[in-house]
Amino acid sequence: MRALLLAGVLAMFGCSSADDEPDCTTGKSQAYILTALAFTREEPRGTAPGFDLDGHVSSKPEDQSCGKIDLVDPQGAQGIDNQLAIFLPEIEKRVGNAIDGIIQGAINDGRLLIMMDLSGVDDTQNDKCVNLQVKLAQGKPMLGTDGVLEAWQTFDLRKADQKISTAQKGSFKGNTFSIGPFELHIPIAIFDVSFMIHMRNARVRFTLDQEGNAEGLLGGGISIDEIADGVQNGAGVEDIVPQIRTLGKLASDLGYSEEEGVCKLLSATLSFKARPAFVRK
Amino acid sequence: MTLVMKHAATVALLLIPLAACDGEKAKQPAQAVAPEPPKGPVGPPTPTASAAQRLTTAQYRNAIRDLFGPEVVVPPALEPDVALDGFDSVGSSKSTVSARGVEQYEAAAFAIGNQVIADPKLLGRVLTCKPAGVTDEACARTFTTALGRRVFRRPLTPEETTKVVTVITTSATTLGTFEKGLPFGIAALLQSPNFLYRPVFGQGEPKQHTGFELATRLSFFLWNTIPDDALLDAARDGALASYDGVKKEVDRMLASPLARDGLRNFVREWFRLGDLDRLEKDAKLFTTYSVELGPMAREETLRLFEDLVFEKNADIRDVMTTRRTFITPKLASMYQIPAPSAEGFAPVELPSDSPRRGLLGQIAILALYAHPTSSSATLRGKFVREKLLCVEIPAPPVNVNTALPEPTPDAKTLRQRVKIHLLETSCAGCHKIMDPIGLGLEQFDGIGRYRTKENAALIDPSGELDGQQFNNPGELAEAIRNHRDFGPCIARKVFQYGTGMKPTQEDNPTLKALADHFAAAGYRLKPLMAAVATSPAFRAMGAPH
Repeated sequence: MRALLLAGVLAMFGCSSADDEPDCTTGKSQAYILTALAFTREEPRGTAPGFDLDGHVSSKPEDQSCGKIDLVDPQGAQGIDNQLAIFLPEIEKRVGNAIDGIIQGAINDGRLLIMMDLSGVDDTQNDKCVNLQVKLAQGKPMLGTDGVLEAWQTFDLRKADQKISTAQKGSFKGNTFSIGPFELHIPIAIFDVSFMIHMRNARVRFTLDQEGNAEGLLGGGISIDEIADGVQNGAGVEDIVPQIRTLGKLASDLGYSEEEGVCKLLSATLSFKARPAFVRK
Repeated sequence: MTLVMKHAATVALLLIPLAACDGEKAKQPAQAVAPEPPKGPVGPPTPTASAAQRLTTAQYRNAIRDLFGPEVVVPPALEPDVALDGFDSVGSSKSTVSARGVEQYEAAAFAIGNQVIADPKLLGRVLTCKPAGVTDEACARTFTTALGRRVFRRPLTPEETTKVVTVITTSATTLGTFEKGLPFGIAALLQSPNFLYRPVFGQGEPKQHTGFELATRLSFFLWNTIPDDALLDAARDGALASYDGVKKEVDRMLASPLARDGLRNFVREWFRLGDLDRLEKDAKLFTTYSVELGPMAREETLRLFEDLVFEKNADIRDVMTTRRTFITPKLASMYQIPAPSAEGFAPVELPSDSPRRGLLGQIAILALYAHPTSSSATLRGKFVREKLLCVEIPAPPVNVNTALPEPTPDAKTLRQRVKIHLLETSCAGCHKIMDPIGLGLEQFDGIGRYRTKENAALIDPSGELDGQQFNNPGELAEAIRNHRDFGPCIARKVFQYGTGMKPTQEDNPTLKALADHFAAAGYRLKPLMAAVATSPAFRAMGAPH
């Protein structure tokens, strides 16, 4: 189950439309390395951070959301699709509540180095044409005495299983950047399992502080079947596949198939922190 | 066996005569020496004060390396150096050895001797004869004569040789093999004042250093280690009696890779960069500080000097304004620039719009001359005044409160708090010549990271240095580079380091001549070092201060 969750985390980042070239070519580039990543949770009941991924407010059980009711974010925005936040405590009862620690450990030891590379940044206060590339980096990161990756490190891009993609025409408004939706896919390697995860309708939103550090949210729809199939092919972790499929049935709220009458995607949102970094040319 | 060894070593130590170590026998300062060849020598033959300098810890380690090989491990605990007037080399002229230090030297000498004997490769470097028996006196004499010449940096007298040979053969007889006697001989040599100190007696009237004394003086100045055989041969042959002879050796020495060690040690002492090993910063405030940062930052500074002096042969004043430096990935992240290599040091040109330029943009200086929890305009300003412009800043009066006021809503920045502090007239006198300089570096925090604000208030890095206005750290660096006192101060520091004595008023003509020569040579450091090393004042020997 931990593998499932970490796979889910990794699936939030990645690549789509790799061959697309950015439209916005003026302005500076700035990369960020994710220094922290955590699942968001429902707190208080009915409230969780996230995005309205389907552009629809499900205030009551309905087929489109497979009976799931949307949440409200802490600022009061309606229609938040983040079903994983509701089920996360239940999952943690089964696998232990060290999930965020596992993720943080993977970041700190360099196994999960995710870079967000912005280009075409003219003005972080007001810029309607900023592109984003999500990449996987590699290397041994330097940690500060606070246990957090230090800012302004230089990373190499991961050579194996790297597939860089671009999300276009994001915007900055008052130091807050937002972009999406865009399709993601990302190679996953957990334990002995290696497979590709696709993610739909992904969104990114973050705010820069005075030091240039970023803090924000990532959300999108995780394909439960893809995760289950990927794990199915792995060596020695097949026993968690039934749990994955059960979780999918219980929690999925996106990608409703009228033909089958089921939702095939699970909405999820993670909070993250990131610091400025460089990509080695 | 240990008791036997220690006893024998102690006896040996007592047997070896303690030479007069501080030149006190020179009753009167020499008035003048014979004129040197007209073209070369720089400055008048004013004798510099002299004293027997104790080897600094770095010199001790370098000497052991050169005597026995780099594989030999020197115990870490040795009598610590004491800086005087900013230099260990000056402090070594005044310091004594504590009882603890004597024990440490003894332990080190035996540890080294035992390592040498235990490794046939090491032993082969110093034992060139094949002992015919347990007490092969001839072989012991060959060993002692060859090794002793380099340890004492002069040939041993027959009496000294006989005493060491006796130690070796007596010990060998007691312990049963010739080789087992050798550590006692090595230990006896390494504990001798003739090794641990640089005794100076001089010769002639007016008094000058002897050839071997000059060879030692040159070697520790330019290489920070003992003379090699070629230099000792030059001393033996009288080649160092003339300017041309000295110049020839100095040119050879400056072309040697060892000259880089010499330069590095000079810079290390000049800026007190050794203190970076003990740098302490508040880990909560400075989360990117780590114990490796200090030594790493020191290496950056030393590599820059090496590059300017040995690769570029550049105007050394450019050290203030150059955009070139040498950084690791860690330093790159601190400087907010891409790391040029995945590991280790690599050269890099800082961007033209970078607030960092040269020495005052380097973490070694910015972090060292700061407090554990904050930057310090006073410490940084004092560094510029004392180290770069040779202005002596007196210590604050004992009854003065030197603490700055805490930040308040009306005084958020250090500049504002210093302004309040300077309302105390007893402080203002000195602080006015330091703090405005240091405030020009306030955009670098206590570990040298760039910032534009302090306590949410914008930092003003402008100021004035002796009539020259500057608006930012880069312009401050430019002002120091072009300051009329900067070049002469470098010449003074090199002279002080080379002679191991704080210059006095009598040295002013020499210092003036060296400064002029330095300027005429385009402020290049190698010609300056050569000028100091070949100057009549360097050879002349005066009384101790």
